[in-house]
Amino acid sequence: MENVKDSYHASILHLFFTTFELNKLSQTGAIIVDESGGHHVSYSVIDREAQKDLEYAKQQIRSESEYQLADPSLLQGFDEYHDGVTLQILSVFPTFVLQQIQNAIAVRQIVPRAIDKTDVNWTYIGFTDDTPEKRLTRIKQGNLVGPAGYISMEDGCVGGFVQLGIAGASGQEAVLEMGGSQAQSSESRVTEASVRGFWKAYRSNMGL
Amino acid sequence: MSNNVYQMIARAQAEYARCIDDDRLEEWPNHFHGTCVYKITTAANYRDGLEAGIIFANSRGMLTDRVSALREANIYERQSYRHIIGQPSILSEDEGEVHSETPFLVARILQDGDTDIFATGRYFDLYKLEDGEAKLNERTVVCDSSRIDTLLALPL
Repeated sequence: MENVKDSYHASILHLFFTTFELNKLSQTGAIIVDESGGHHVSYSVIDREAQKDLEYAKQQIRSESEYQLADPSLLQGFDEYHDGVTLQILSVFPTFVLQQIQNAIAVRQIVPRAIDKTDVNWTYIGFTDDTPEKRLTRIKQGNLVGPAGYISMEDGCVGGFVQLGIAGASGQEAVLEMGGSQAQSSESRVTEASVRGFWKAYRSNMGL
Repeated sequence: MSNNVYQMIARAQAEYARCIDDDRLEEWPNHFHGTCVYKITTAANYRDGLEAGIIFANSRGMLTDRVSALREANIYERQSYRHIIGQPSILSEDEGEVHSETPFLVARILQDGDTDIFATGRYFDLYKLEDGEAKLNERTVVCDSSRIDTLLALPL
Protein backbone atom coordinates (compact mmCIF):
# COMPACT_ATOMS: atom_id res chain seq x y z
CA MET A 1 0.00 0.00 0.00
CA GLU A 2 2.73 2.45 0.95
CA ASN A 3 4.62 1.47 -2.17
CA VAL A 4 1.76 2.69 -4.36
CA LYS A 5 1.30 5.94 -2.41
CA ASP A 6 5.02 6.63 -2.46
CA SER A 7 5.59 9.15 -5.24
CA TYR A 8 9.35 9.42 -5.08
CA HIS A 9 10.77 5.89 -5.00
CA ALA A 10 10.17 4.98 -8.65
CA SER A 11 13.10 6.74 -10.18
CA ILE A 12 15.46 5.50 -7.47
CA LEU A 13 14.38 1.89 -7.08
CA HIS A 14 13.39 1.13 -10.66
CA LEU A 15 16.31 1.41 -13.03
CA PHE A 16 14.14 1.02 -16.09
CA PHE A 17 12.19 4.20 -15.52
CA THR A 18 14.95 6.68 -15.49
CA THR A 19 17.31 5.01 -17.93
CA PHE A 20 14.73 5.59 -20.61
CA GLU A 21 13.48 8.87 -19.25
CA LEU A 22 9.99 7.66 -18.47
CA ASN A 23 10.20 9.03 -14.98
CA LYS A 24 12.82 11.16 -13.31
CA LEU A 25 12.36 13.25 -10.18
CA SER A 26 13.74 16.19 -12.11
CA GLN A 27 10.91 15.98 -14.67
CA THR A 28 7.87 18.16 -14.39
CA GLY A 29 5.16 16.59 -12.37
CA ALA A 30 3.30 16.97 -9.16
CA ILE A 31 1.35 15.21 -6.50
CA ILE A 32 -2.22 16.03 -5.61
CA VAL A 33 -3.61 14.82 -2.31
CA ASP A 34 -7.23 15.35 -1.37
CA GLU A 35 -8.38 16.81 1.96
CA SER A 36 -9.00 13.49 3.62
CA GLY A 37 -5.56 12.34 2.58
CA GLY A 38 -6.96 9.07 1.34
CA HIS A 39 -6.82 9.71 -2.40
CA HIS A 40 -3.93 10.92 -4.49
CA VAL A 41 -2.65 11.51 -7.97
CA SER A 42 1.04 11.47 -8.73
CA TYR A 43 2.07 12.29 -12.27
CA SER A 44 5.00 13.25 -14.40
CA VAL A 45 5.22 14.98 -17.73
CA ILE A 46 7.96 14.36 -20.20
CA ASP A 47 9.87 17.45 -21.24
CA ARG A 48 12.16 16.42 -24.07
CA GLU A 49 13.40 19.96 -24.54
CA ALA A 50 14.66 20.27 -20.99
CA GLN A 51 18.39 20.25 -20.52
CA LYS A 52 19.91 17.17 -19.02
CA ASP A 53 19.99 17.73 -15.30
CA LEU A 54 23.66 17.56 -14.46
CA GLU A 55 23.06 17.90 -10.75
CA TYR A 56 20.91 14.80 -10.80
CA ALA A 57 23.58 12.83 -12.64
CA LYS A 58 26.25 13.89 -10.18
CA GLN A 59 24.31 12.41 -7.28
CA GLN A 60 24.84 8.94 -8.75
CA ILE A 61 21.43 7.86 -7.60
CA ARG A 62 20.93 4.33 -8.92
CA SER A 63 18.77 5.38 -11.81
CA GLU A 64 21.50 6.70 -14.11
CA SER A 65 23.17 3.99 -16.13
CA GLU A 66 24.39 2.90 -19.54
CA TYR A 67 22.01 0.00 -19.71
CA GLN A 68 20.65 -0.37 -23.26
CA LEU A 69 17.72 -2.38 -24.61
CA ALA A 70 18.29 -4.69 -27.59
CA ASP A 71 14.71 -4.09 -28.70
CA PRO A 72 13.54 -0.69 -27.46
CA SER A 73 10.26 -0.86 -29.41
CA LEU A 74 8.51 -1.81 -26.17
CA LEU A 75 8.96 1.80 -25.05
CA GLN A 76 7.38 3.31 -28.14
CA GLY A 77 3.95 4.67 -27.53
CA PHE A 78 1.31 6.89 -29.04
CA ASP A 79 -0.07 10.19 -27.80
CA GLU A 80 -3.38 9.14 -26.37
CA TYR A 81 -4.60 12.00 -24.20
CA HIS A 82 -2.61 14.94 -25.59
CA ASP A 83 -1.62 16.23 -22.18
CA GLY A 84 2.05 15.26 -22.14
CA VAL A 85 1.56 13.03 -19.12
CA THR A 86 3.74 9.94 -19.43
CA LEU A 87 3.03 8.52 -16.03
CA GLN A 88 0.16 8.81 -13.61
CA ILE A 89 -0.74 6.87 -10.51
CA LEU A 90 -4.16 7.59 -9.08
CA SER A 91 -5.23 6.00 -5.85
CA VAL A 92 -8.59 5.97 -4.13
CA PHE A 93 -8.79 5.01 -0.47
CA PRO A 94 -8.39 2.36 0.59
CA THR A 95 -7.23 -0.07 -2.06
CA PHE A 96 -7.93 1.10 -5.62
CA VAL A 97 -5.23 2.20 -8.02
CA LEU A 98 -5.47 3.37 -11.60
CA GLN A 99 -2.19 3.55 -13.46
CA GLN A 100 -1.17 5.07 -16.72
CA ILE A 101 2.37 4.30 -17.77
CA GLN A 102 2.57 5.60 -21.31
CA ASN A 103 -0.19 3.55 -22.96
CA ALA A 104 -0.24 0.75 -20.40
CA ILE A 105 -3.43 1.46 -18.50
CA ALA A 106 -4.26 -0.82 -15.62
CA VAL A 107 -6.33 -1.10 -12.51
CA ARG A 108 -4.79 -2.53 -9.38
CA GLN A 109 -6.72 -3.80 -6.40
CA ILE A 110 -4.84 -4.28 -3.17
CA VAL A 111 -6.31 -7.15 -1.18
CA PRO A 112 -4.88 -7.76 2.29
CA ARG A 113 -4.92 -11.48 3.12
CA ALA A 114 -3.14 -11.53 6.48
CA ILE A 115 -0.92 -9.23 8.48
CA ASP A 116 2.03 -10.38 6.41
CA LYS A 117 0.31 -11.16 3.13
CA THR A 118 -1.24 -9.00 0.47
CA ASP A 119 -2.54 -9.78 -2.99
CA VAL A 120 -2.41 -7.26 -5.82
CA ASN A 121 -4.85 -7.91 -8.65
CA TRP A 122 -3.79 -6.44 -11.98
CA THR A 123 -6.29 -5.75 -14.74
CA TYR A 124 -4.78 -4.44 -17.98
CA ILE A 125 -7.09 -2.39 -20.13
CA GLY A 126 -7.45 -1.88 -23.86
CA PHE A 127 -10.27 -0.33 -25.84
CA THR A 128 -12.59 -1.79 -28.44
CA ASP A 129 -11.55 0.87 -30.92
CA ASP A 130 -7.84 0.16 -30.52
CA THR A 131 -6.17 -0.62 -33.82
CA PRO A 132 -4.11 -3.83 -33.90
CA GLU A 133 -0.99 -1.66 -33.61
CA LYS A 134 -2.27 0.10 -30.49
CA ARG A 135 -3.26 -3.22 -29.01
CA LEU A 136 0.20 -4.63 -29.57
CA THR A 137 1.77 -1.46 -28.15
CA ARG A 138 -0.24 -1.85 -24.95
CA ILE A 139 0.58 -5.56 -24.71
CA LYS A 140 4.30 -4.89 -25.13
CA GLN A 141 4.27 -2.06 -22.61
CA GLY A 142 2.58 -4.48 -20.22
CA ASN A 143 6.05 -5.94 -19.72
CA LEU A 144 6.79 -2.92 -17.55
CA VAL A 145 4.22 -3.83 -14.91
CA GLY A 146 2.72 -6.80 -13.15
CA PRO A 147 4.55 -9.53 -11.22
CA ALA A 148 7.25 -9.80 -13.89
CA GLY A 149 7.26 -6.10 -14.60
CA TYR A 150 10.52 -4.43 -15.51
CA ILE A 151 9.37 -1.65 -13.22
CA SER A 152 7.08 -3.44 -10.80
CA MET A 153 9.29 -6.38 -9.98
CA GLU A 154 11.06 -4.55 -7.19
CA ASP A 155 7.73 -3.44 -5.74
CA GLY A 156 6.88 -7.09 -5.29
CA CYS A 157 9.81 -7.86 -3.06
CA VAL A 158 10.82 -4.61 -1.37
CA GLY A 159 8.01 -4.72 1.20
CA GLY A 160 9.13 -8.17 2.23
CA PHE A 161 12.76 -7.03 2.45
CA VAL A 162 11.75 -4.19 4.78
CA GLN A 163 9.76 -6.53 6.99
CA LEU A 164 12.69 -8.94 7.16
CA GLY A 165 14.98 -6.05 8.01
CA ILE A 166 12.92 -4.75 10.91
CA ALA A 167 11.95 -8.14 12.26
CA GLY A 168 14.56 -7.94 14.99
CA ALA A 169 13.72 -4.38 16.01
CA SER A 170 10.11 -4.57 17.15
CA GLY A 171 10.81 -2.51 20.25
CA GLN A 172 12.21 0.43 18.30
CA GLU A 173 10.95 3.20 16.08
CA ALA A 174 12.30 5.69 13.59
CA VAL A 175 10.67 8.76 12.10
CA LEU A 176 11.61 10.50 8.86
CA GLU A 177 9.57 13.44 7.65
CA MET A 178 10.08 13.66 3.94
CA GLY A 179 8.39 16.67 2.45
CA GLY A 180 7.17 17.83 5.85
CA SER A 181 4.58 16.33 8.14
CA GLN A 182 1.38 17.27 6.34
CA ALA A 183 -0.58 15.34 3.71
CA GLN A 184 -0.74 18.10 1.14
CA SER A 185 -0.46 18.55 -2.59
CA SER A 186 2.95 19.56 -3.83
CA GLU A 187 4.68 20.50 -7.04
CA SER A 188 7.43 18.10 -6.21
CA ARG A 189 7.02 14.36 -6.00
CA VAL A 190 9.87 14.17 -3.48
CA THR A 191 7.50 13.83 -0.57
CA GLU A 192 5.68 11.23 1.45
CA ALA A 193 2.54 13.36 1.56
CA SER A 194 0.29 10.70 0.08
CA VAL A 195 1.67 8.00 2.37
CA ARG A 196 0.91 10.20 5.39
CA GLY A 197 -2.44 10.94 3.78
CA PHE A 198 -3.34 7.27 3.61
CA TRP A 199 -2.65 6.78 7.31
CA LYS A 200 -4.55 9.96 8.16
CA ALA A 201 -7.60 8.59 6.37
CA TYR A 202 -7.05 5.16 7.92
CA ARG A 203 -6.99 6.57 11.46
CA SER A 204 -10.06 8.63 10.72
CA ASN A 205 -11.98 5.60 9.43
CA MET A 206 -10.80 3.32 12.23
CA GLY A 207 -11.56 5.85 14.95
CA LEU A 208 -7.93 5.93 16.11
CA MET B 1 2.80 -38.38 -36.10
CA SER B 2 6.10 -40.16 -35.85
CA ASN B 3 8.19 -41.15 -32.89
CA ASN B 4 10.95 -39.08 -34.38
CA VAL B 5 8.98 -35.85 -34.00
CA TYR B 6 8.16 -36.72 -30.44
CA GLN B 7 11.83 -37.27 -29.65
CA MET B 8 12.87 -34.05 -31.36
CA ILE B 9 10.39 -32.05 -29.31
CA ALA B 10 11.24 -33.78 -26.05
CA ARG B 11 14.92 -33.07 -26.70
CA ALA B 12 14.25 -29.37 -27.40
CA GLN B 13 12.13 -29.04 -24.28
CA ALA B 14 14.71 -30.69 -22.06
CA GLU B 15 17.48 -28.44 -23.34
CA TYR B 16 15.32 -25.36 -22.78
CA ALA B 17 14.67 -26.30 -19.16
CA ARG B 18 18.31 -27.15 -18.48
CA CYS B 19 19.36 -23.76 -19.78
CA ILE B 20 17.19 -21.88 -17.32
CA ASP B 21 17.73 -24.20 -14.35
CA ASP B 22 21.52 -24.18 -14.83
CA ASP B 23 21.51 -20.38 -14.82
CA ARG B 24 22.69 -20.19 -18.43
CA LEU B 25 20.07 -17.54 -19.08
CA GLU B 26 22.16 -15.84 -21.77
CA GLU B 27 21.46 -18.91 -23.94
CA TRP B 28 17.71 -18.80 -23.36
CA PRO B 29 16.91 -16.51 -26.33
CA ASN B 30 18.82 -18.92 -28.63
CA HIS B 31 16.13 -21.52 -28.04
CA PHE B 32 13.71 -19.36 -30.03
CA HIS B 33 13.62 -19.18 -33.82
CA GLY B 34 11.57 -17.57 -36.54
CA THR B 35 8.80 -15.45 -35.07
CA CYS B 36 10.29 -15.74 -31.54
CA VAL B 37 7.05 -15.35 -29.62
CA TYR B 38 7.07 -16.01 -25.88
CA LYS B 39 4.18 -15.27 -23.61
CA ILE B 40 3.33 -16.18 -20.03
CA THR B 41 -0.33 -16.03 -19.13
CA THR B 42 -2.85 -17.69 -16.83
CA ALA B 43 -5.39 -20.43 -17.47
CA ALA B 44 -8.28 -18.06 -16.77
CA ASN B 45 -7.01 -15.49 -19.28
CA TYR B 46 -6.18 -18.17 -21.85
CA ARG B 47 -9.63 -19.70 -21.56
CA ASP B 48 -11.35 -16.30 -21.93
CA GLY B 49 -9.20 -15.24 -24.87
CA LEU B 50 -7.70 -12.26 -23.01
CA GLU B 51 -4.48 -11.36 -24.70
CA ALA B 52 -2.29 -9.49 -22.23
CA GLY B 53 0.56 -11.50 -20.77
CA ILE B 54 2.60 -11.47 -17.58
CA ILE B 55 5.57 -11.51 -19.95
CA PHE B 56 5.27 -10.93 -23.68
CA ALA B 57 8.03 -10.98 -26.27
CA ASN B 58 7.81 -11.13 -30.04
CA SER B 59 11.44 -10.73 -31.00
CA ARG B 60 14.81 -12.21 -30.07
CA GLY B 61 15.80 -8.75 -28.83
CA MET B 62 12.96 -8.65 -26.31
CA LEU B 63 14.06 -12.03 -24.98
CA THR B 64 17.63 -10.78 -24.67
CA ASP B 65 16.36 -7.72 -22.81
CA ARG B 66 14.58 -9.93 -20.30
CA VAL B 67 17.91 -11.55 -19.47
CA SER B 68 19.83 -8.27 -19.37
CA ALA B 69 17.25 -6.80 -17.03
CA LEU B 70 17.61 -9.72 -14.65
CA ARG B 71 21.40 -9.55 -14.71
CA GLU B 72 21.84 -5.78 -14.57
CA ALA B 73 18.73 -3.89 -13.58
CA ASN B 74 16.11 -5.65 -11.54
CA ILE B 75 16.38 -6.36 -7.83
CA TYR B 76 14.97 -9.63 -6.60
CA GLU B 77 15.75 -12.31 -4.07
CA ARG B 78 18.28 -14.76 -5.45
CA GLN B 79 16.53 -17.93 -6.55
CA SER B 80 16.75 -20.86 -8.88
CA TYR B 81 14.22 -23.05 -10.60
CA ARG B 82 13.83 -26.74 -11.19
CA HIS B 83 11.61 -27.53 -14.17
CA ILE B 84 9.91 -30.91 -14.20
CA ILE B 85 8.46 -31.38 -17.65
CA GLY B 86 5.79 -33.91 -18.53
CA GLN B 87 5.26 -35.73 -21.83
CA PRO B 88 4.48 -33.58 -24.83
CA SER B 89 1.14 -34.19 -26.52
CA ILE B 90 1.38 -33.59 -30.27
CA LEU B 91 -1.74 -31.62 -31.19
CA SER B 92 -1.04 -31.33 -34.90
CA GLU B 93 1.70 -31.94 -37.43
CA ASP B 94 1.44 -30.34 -40.83
CA GLU B 95 4.23 -29.78 -43.38
CA GLY B 96 6.95 -29.47 -40.83
CA GLU B 97 4.96 -27.38 -38.35
CA VAL B 98 4.09 -29.06 -35.09
CA HIS B 99 1.85 -27.86 -32.29
CA SER B 100 2.25 -29.46 -28.89
CA GLU B 101 0.94 -29.17 -25.36
CA THR B 102 3.21 -30.16 -22.48
CA PRO B 103 2.55 -29.98 -18.74
CA PHE B 104 5.22 -28.55 -16.45
CA LEU B 105 5.93 -27.96 -12.80
CA VAL B 106 8.49 -25.40 -11.67
CA ALA B 107 9.90 -25.45 -8.17
CA ARG B 108 11.56 -22.30 -6.87
CA ILE B 109 14.47 -22.65 -4.50
CA LEU B 110 15.44 -19.62 -2.45
CA GLN B 111 18.76 -18.81 -0.83
CA ASP B 112 17.80 -20.27 2.53
CA GLY B 113 16.74 -23.51 0.92
CA ASP B 114 12.99 -22.92 1.04
CA THR B 115 11.58 -24.87 -1.87
CA ASP B 116 8.10 -24.12 -3.17
CA ILE B 117 5.96 -25.23 -6.04
CA PHE B 118 6.18 -21.88 -7.78
CA ALA B 119 4.10 -22.66 -10.87
CA THR B 120 2.39 -25.46 -12.71
CA GLY B 121 0.88 -25.25 -16.15
CA ARG B 122 1.21 -26.14 -19.81
CA TYR B 123 3.47 -25.11 -22.65
CA PHE B 124 1.61 -24.56 -25.90
CA ASP B 125 4.42 -24.70 -28.44
CA LEU B 126 4.84 -24.23 -32.16
CA TYR B 127 7.88 -25.99 -33.63
CA LYS B 128 9.26 -25.99 -37.14
CA LEU B 129 11.16 -29.12 -38.08
CA GLU B 130 14.48 -28.29 -39.72
CA ASP B 131 17.65 -30.33 -40.17
CA GLY B 132 16.49 -33.10 -37.86
CA GLU B 133 15.64 -30.67 -35.06
CA ALA B 134 12.48 -29.21 -33.66
CA LYS B 135 13.02 -25.43 -33.58
CA LEU B 136 10.79 -23.59 -31.15
CA ASN B 137 9.07 -20.64 -32.83
CA GLU B 138 6.37 -19.80 -30.33
CA ARG B 139 5.76 -20.72 -26.72
CA THR B 140 2.73 -19.75 -24.71
CA VAL B 141 3.14 -20.63 -21.04
CA VAL B 142 -0.27 -21.07 -19.45
CA CYS B 143 0.01 -21.13 -15.66
CA ASP B 144 -2.78 -23.00 -13.91
CA SER B 145 -3.01 -20.43 -11.13
CA SER B 146 -3.74 -16.71 -11.50
CA ARG B 147 -1.57 -15.96 -8.48
CA ILE B 148 2.19 -15.47 -8.61
CA ASP B 149 4.10 -15.42 -5.33
CA THR B 150 5.97 -12.14 -4.92
CA LEU B 151 7.41 -11.81 -8.38
CA LEU B 152 8.27 -13.71 -11.52
CA ALA B 153 11.90 -13.05 -12.33
CA LEU B 154 13.30 -16.07 -14.16
CA PRO B 155 11.43 -17.11 -17.29
CA LEU B 156 9.33 -20.27 -17.07
